[in-house]
Amino acid sequence: MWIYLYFPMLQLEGISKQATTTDFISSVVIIDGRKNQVVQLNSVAEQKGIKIGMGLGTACALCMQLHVLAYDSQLERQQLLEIADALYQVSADLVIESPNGIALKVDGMLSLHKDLSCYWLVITEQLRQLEVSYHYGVGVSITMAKLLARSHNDTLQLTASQTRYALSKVTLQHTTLAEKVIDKLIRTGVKTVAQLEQFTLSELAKRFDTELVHYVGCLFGKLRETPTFYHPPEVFELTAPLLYEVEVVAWLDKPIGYLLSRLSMFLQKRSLVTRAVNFTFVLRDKNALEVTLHSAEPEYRISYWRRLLDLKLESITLEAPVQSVSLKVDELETQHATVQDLFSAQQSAISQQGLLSILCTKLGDQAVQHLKLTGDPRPEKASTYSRTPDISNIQTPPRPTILLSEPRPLCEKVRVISGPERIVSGWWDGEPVQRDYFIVQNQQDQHLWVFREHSNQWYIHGVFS
Amino acid sequence: MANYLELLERKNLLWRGRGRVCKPEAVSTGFTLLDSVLQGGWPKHGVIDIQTAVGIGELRLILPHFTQEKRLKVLINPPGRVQAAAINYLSLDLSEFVILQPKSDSEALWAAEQCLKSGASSAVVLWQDALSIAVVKRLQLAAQSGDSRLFVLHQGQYMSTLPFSLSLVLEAKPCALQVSIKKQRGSFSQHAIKLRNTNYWPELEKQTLPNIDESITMPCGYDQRLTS
Repeated sequence: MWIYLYFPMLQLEGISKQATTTDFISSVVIIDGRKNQVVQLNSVAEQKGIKIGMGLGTACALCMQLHVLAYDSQLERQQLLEIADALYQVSADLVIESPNGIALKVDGMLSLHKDLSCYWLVITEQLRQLEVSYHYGVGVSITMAKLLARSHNDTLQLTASQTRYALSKVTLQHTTLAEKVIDKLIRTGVKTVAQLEQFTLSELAKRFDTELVHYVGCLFGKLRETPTFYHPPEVFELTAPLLYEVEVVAWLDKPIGYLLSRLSMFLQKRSLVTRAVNFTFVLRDKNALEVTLHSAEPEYRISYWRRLLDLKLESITLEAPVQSVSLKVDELETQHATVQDLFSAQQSAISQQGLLSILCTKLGDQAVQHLKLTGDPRPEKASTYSRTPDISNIQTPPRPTILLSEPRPLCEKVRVISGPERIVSGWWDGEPVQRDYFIVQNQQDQHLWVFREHSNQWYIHGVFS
Repeated sequence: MANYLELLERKNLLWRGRGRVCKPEAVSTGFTLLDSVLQGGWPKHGVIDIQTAVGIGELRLILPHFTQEKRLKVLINPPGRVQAAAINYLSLDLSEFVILQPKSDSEALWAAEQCLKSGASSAVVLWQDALSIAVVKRLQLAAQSGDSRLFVLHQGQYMSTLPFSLSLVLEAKPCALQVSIKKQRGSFSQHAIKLRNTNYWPELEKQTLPNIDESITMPCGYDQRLTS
């Protein structure tokens, strides 16, 4: 079973969230440029008599001071992702239906809730916090739930006959079928969606194309739909659109606050922290202004980043009006508890694992190594670096503290302190070694570890640093 | 009057400057002679500067005191591959050692600061040839907050005097390592001592073996190399 949520006013509500309240006393409509139709409008515009589907000319004639915005599918998509992210916290399987719908799979979630109404209560609570208006529908398939939601059905419990009744109200024009197919169906006497159920799929296949067969099959749950489920993003990226261009830095307060609050919610839910946030201000006719804030301590709170940003913005002058602000954070770390000892002088402490993860994040995994003993007699292989700490305890003869990466020819006079120690090994893996090692001291009194090869060549291999 | 003074002193309300020595907390170096000139050992937290050539026993001077603390020991930018066998030879716990090889100097300093500040590591050894006053001060503060110490090893002399807690110069002498104290916080004394590392590395400090030159007949290839 699926619940489909339909958000008719996504862009308008998205903008009003970041704008100050006074901006919305005037009437605002959003126009889809391609169709030249009003697609979204606020309550003030509605009172003036403007309706969805009107042309721009008619709307302007009805209201003198009309604030017109262009429809932006990118922005709606972003709003939708945000809603999906919030709903993902309470519902596991959800499908994003661009541009303005989300389908929730109910079956799996009912085992966590007492019944459907309890589950719905949790969903509505999330939607209430997001302050979005929505319509919903319930059906055996996404397609059916979508049809009901788009026709403002808004009922949760439906028996089979109630569903049929509701579908009989929905005309074929509401479906996503092609005009030609709908025409053909109307000529055969099929006017509503409910009437489609009486045909078997094989009958439809004889008269109509596969598109309709597939649609009807999916609609009544006879064919399986293959939805792609939503997965929450790994990094944070959000753009706050501005209702008008801003020339004064102080006026960016509200959109920045909105972005940061979203960021802190994002980080808090995942128990992550970050050391760097990256703001981008898109300027009119100029290159975008990038502001990156770094922090020595990893942090997720708004107030902290706010303070840093305020300091940074003091030194910035805007060359051109700002059109939009976006925030991107991709260096994320897991949060580590700090241990505070009341009596030690030490002020802060994070765990060893915490420290290592910080180092790995910044320097790269390759740069952070542990020591490991292998027990191999060959000096190059006896001690290696490894990614994980080693706890083996093998008895070892005296060895230099630092081994040169490549043996260097010995070209100076030295004094032998101890030796020789013959190492003959490695015949089993194709890297045989036959060397006599000596501990020597050179003219500068450095302690060196030198070896003589089988062919009487002398090399320095390590230093007793 | 004398009674009052006694009373005040007993209540810790009177402080006498005379006869008190400001003694910073120290961790024993593992060498009795060195401990005595360093007022107890390495400073418990702070930045320690060691000017030294490579391979004269500078790391071997630092390693012994690592047994006293259980926290991590971080080695940053060592001049070669650090040998686990040598660490193991001193019965140190290998799992406490971390080797860092950052790509640039600034990353190395960043890593040193993070390690010092974290409190998860007791000591950091950094091979770095150039430092500025601001950097050293920053590292000092980090070391203080994490209760850890940083050893900076370098070959040449630094351009200016830097605010180190302790500054040493190591020079190799036959059969001993000469440690001269250039500067020490809380003390005016300037010492130079000859240190023999026989306890920890008896193999290296053996007196010249009897007739060593005669006992090993040098192959002709070796002689050629020496003269070339």
